[in-house]
Amino acid sequence: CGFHLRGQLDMPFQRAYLNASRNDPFMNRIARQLEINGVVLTERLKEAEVVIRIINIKRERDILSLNRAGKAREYRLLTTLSFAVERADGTTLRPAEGIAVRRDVTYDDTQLLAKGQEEAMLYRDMEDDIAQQLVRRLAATKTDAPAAR
Amino acid sequence: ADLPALVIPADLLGTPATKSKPAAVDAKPPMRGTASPSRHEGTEAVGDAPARRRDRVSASRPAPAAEATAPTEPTGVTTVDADRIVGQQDVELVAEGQAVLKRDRSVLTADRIVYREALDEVEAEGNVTLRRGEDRLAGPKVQLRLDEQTGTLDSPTYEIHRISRKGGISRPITGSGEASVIRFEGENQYRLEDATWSTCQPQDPDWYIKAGELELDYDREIGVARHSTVVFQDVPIFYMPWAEFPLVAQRKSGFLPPTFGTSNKSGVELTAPYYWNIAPNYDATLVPRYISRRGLQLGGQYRYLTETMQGTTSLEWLSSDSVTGQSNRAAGSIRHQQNFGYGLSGSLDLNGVSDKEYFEDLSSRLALSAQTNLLRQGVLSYSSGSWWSASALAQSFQTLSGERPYRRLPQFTLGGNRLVWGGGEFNLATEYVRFAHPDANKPEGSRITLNPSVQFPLGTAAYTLTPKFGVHYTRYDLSTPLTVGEESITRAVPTFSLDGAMVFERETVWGGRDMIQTLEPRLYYVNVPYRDQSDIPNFDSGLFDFNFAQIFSENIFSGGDRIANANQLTAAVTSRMIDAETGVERLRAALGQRFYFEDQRVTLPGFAARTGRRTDILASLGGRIGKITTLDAGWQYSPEDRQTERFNADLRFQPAFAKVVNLGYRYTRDVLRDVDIAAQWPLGGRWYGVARYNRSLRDHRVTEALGGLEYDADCWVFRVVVHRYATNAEDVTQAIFLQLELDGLASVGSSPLDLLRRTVGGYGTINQPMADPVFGRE
Amino acid sequence: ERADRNKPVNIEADKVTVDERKKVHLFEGKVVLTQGTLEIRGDTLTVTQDDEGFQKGVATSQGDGLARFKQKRDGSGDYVHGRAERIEYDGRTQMTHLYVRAHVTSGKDEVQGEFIEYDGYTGQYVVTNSSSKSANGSGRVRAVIQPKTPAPE
Repeated sequence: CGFHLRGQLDMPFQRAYLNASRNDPFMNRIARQLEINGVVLTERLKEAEVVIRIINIKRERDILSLNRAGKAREYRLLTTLSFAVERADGTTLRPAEGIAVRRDVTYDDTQLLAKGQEEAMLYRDMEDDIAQQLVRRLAATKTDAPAAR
Repeated sequence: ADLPALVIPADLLGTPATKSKPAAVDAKPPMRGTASPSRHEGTEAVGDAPARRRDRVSASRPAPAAEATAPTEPTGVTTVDADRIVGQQDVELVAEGQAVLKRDRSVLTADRIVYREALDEVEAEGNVTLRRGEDRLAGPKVQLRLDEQTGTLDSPTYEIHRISRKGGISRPITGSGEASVIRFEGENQYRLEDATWSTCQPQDPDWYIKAGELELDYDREIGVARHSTVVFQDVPIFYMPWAEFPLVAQRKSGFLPPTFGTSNKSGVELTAPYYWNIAPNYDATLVPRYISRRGLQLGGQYRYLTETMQGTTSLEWLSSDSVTGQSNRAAGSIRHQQNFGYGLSGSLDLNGVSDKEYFEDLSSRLALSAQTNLLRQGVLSYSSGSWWSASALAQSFQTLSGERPYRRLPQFTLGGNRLVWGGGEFNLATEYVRFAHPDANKPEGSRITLNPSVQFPLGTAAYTLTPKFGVHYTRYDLSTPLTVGEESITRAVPTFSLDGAMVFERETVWGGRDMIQTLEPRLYYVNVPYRDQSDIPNFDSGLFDFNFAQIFSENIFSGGDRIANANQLTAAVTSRMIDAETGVERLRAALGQRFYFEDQRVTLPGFAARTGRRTDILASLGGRIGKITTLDAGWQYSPEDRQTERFNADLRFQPAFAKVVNLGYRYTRDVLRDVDIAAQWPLGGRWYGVARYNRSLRDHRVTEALGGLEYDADCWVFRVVVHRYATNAEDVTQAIFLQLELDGLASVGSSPLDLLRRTVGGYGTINQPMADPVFGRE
Repeated sequence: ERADRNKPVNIEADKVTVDERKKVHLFEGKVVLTQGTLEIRGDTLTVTQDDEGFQKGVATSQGDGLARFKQKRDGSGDYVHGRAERIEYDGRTQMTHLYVRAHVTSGKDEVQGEFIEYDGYTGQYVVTNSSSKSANGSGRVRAVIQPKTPAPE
């Protein structure tokens, strides 16, 4: 049915500058995803062919359903990463766009601490999901200008 | 009204690392972990940048027919056209018969103009009009010094056009009105007497401010009115001895749209928030709220943002509640985040209320009344910049209803991961935490956990095989000895997992676009030997929800008190539809199940052990299934009982911005069966409607019902909402709220489209900007 | 300048016809009249003298060229330039009347219209869109005043 083993994502650029500190675990995950797919992250903007500009990370927690007592029973966790891709000289390769991911979690105030840990796990899971989707989008970015190999 | 994002002024920033403009950092600190992450506006117009209907291009509003006043002459030259001119050179000139005097961008027309060159002063009579750019003033008589821009215009009508730039969207705003006299006091500075000001169509404004004295400072874009009343449809609705208001709807101090309403809890209610724009990165909102049955509640919110710190402090205080007789009912929250440099940062999240029923009685927002525990937490975290980072935390809660949780006083963690020889990834997670509990009968004590692990990702991007070896060592020192009388317990559990995944791809066409479809089979084997943990108290462990995030984790319990024995294999397959051109994942389907080769022997107190050999089947489908339709569905089926454990589906039709219908169904066996319909739809003319209906079919009870109408006239917006939601088992809050937003006057008017947008999304979030308790945007 | 009045008048032209009885001299063809700082040019120039001997000149020109008039202003070093299809200059009253496509520049300022009356003595002027001081024509007149003192910084 036409499926073939996928080789490594052929990224349209080799050296990229990520404008976020790797101390943030989420940014570290994104950086690792890029490195797995053969992208070298440069220290300084000038050395990179492409700048991945992380504009904003929005984490939200909405009540999804209530129990009989009118208290929250389920929460919907949302994470939205907005980013843009530019050349080193600042011209836009890919205008600002967002990747939004969500997970639902039941809530039980008798297990408050446990649920807190579960939500932290779900946020990490969303970050992995976003990191993969981001790399997919970067792989499809057209760098029509001859990328300086 | 939504509050604008604070901005760090450039001079404060020093040289920003990247050349992007000063960081418009979110107004609210993003936080994770147990704290409820607060909502923040983030950058507007992200992803599907909604073209706001509200921000029409000025073309749709007929700009006044202003002659092109592009200066043809070099600056400073005065040109006079008329039917007849009599003059004395270098002294004076009198032009009569439709006289027109042009100087730079100003054009003065009148029946008769006298220009005195020495004083550079002009005097004109007879239907005088003064135009500069698009601004236009008219009156019977004017006397003006052109260069200094000082002088007076008698019984003027005026229109001053400016462009308001807010959140990246610019739209024209016209301040217009009339007065007994206008005094020009320099470029862009006007002082008017017995004046009116409005942003409506100049001819017959729907609303205007009438003021004894009005100062318009179009440099700072601030108007100051004295002895002023707001008149709406010729009905005076608001008197203000003194008021400052924005002239170009920019972030300026001023009143936010007042909200008037009635509810079964508070009787009649009026909120008139005042926004005080202290500096580009400091602001405060004062929220006086008159509640007829309870009294006057004062609220305030203070926000600040600097290069190293940001935070929000809010407080609500009701001196005496005439319904319950309590005095000093208050609620407060402090959110603070600070970067100390050198990798050290800290945050504070303290919340509290004076009494347990505070939110149920006084909050007009469901998100608040649905809370059971208010977090009180301080965190200090250090990231070394190399592979490890550490944190220290103190955490407790104010419990409003239900069981009181354990407190972490304190908790220290040290963790990190780094690459080791042979391509392995070493991960370390260590924690010391002391659990305390207010009830004496609950065991207390400290727990030290050491959990090193190493994994070897073999294979290429196409297929991966990752064995992971770890040890989970824990030592408890319990201060209240258990029945067994042991002081301390240790537990050491080796863990092993093997994660294998392959990625197949093929090009295909779907929905008329080239797509790459992936097929990603994955196998995940976990082996953890049994350790008797029945005498370990449960401080922070709980059973994970069964979902795709949990199906690939080593432990079915969250927290550190229970490490489940495991000899199990999870099999799953995911298929994605990825847009070949943009790389955007359009649709994702997944199917998974876990097979057990060993019974569950580690349990939580009060929970039965699993017996079956297989878990339920998990299936999910999410993404765009049509041009305007998106679906998000999850299904959990139990093959043993041959029935559905959980099923939820969200179907959304969104043909255009502000036109959306959400159909939601949530089912969990023996727990809940909810249906949720939410819609926002233009009703034609200038009317917009929002509705939300959430019913619990199991409890035969409406959990939340809401209906909202919004009328969007050119320069004002009227909103009305009827809102009914359960605040506890028997009690319901039912309220009707009206809001009138005078465009431009409210310094930070929320876009009318945001009428209760949160209700179409979800129930609302915990810390919505206080400024607009009912209509505030998410 | 006021002093021009008692300066000798010099007129050049291709041709001159004199009517002694009426004391009218008609000059034709590239006519140039000079008297002190005053200078008038035109295709034709009719000069009449009154009993006290003051000259009164009427210069006209057809076609696209316009009659010209130039005189230095008292007190200021600027020159006044005027042009129109017909220029009447009265030596005694120092009044100049310019008719049809009239344009007067004085220093950097200028006025234009169908009829301009300019008083060399006082520097006063009247500009109308008809053929006389009382405005009843249909066209427009214009005055342009250049900034004298540099705009206060």
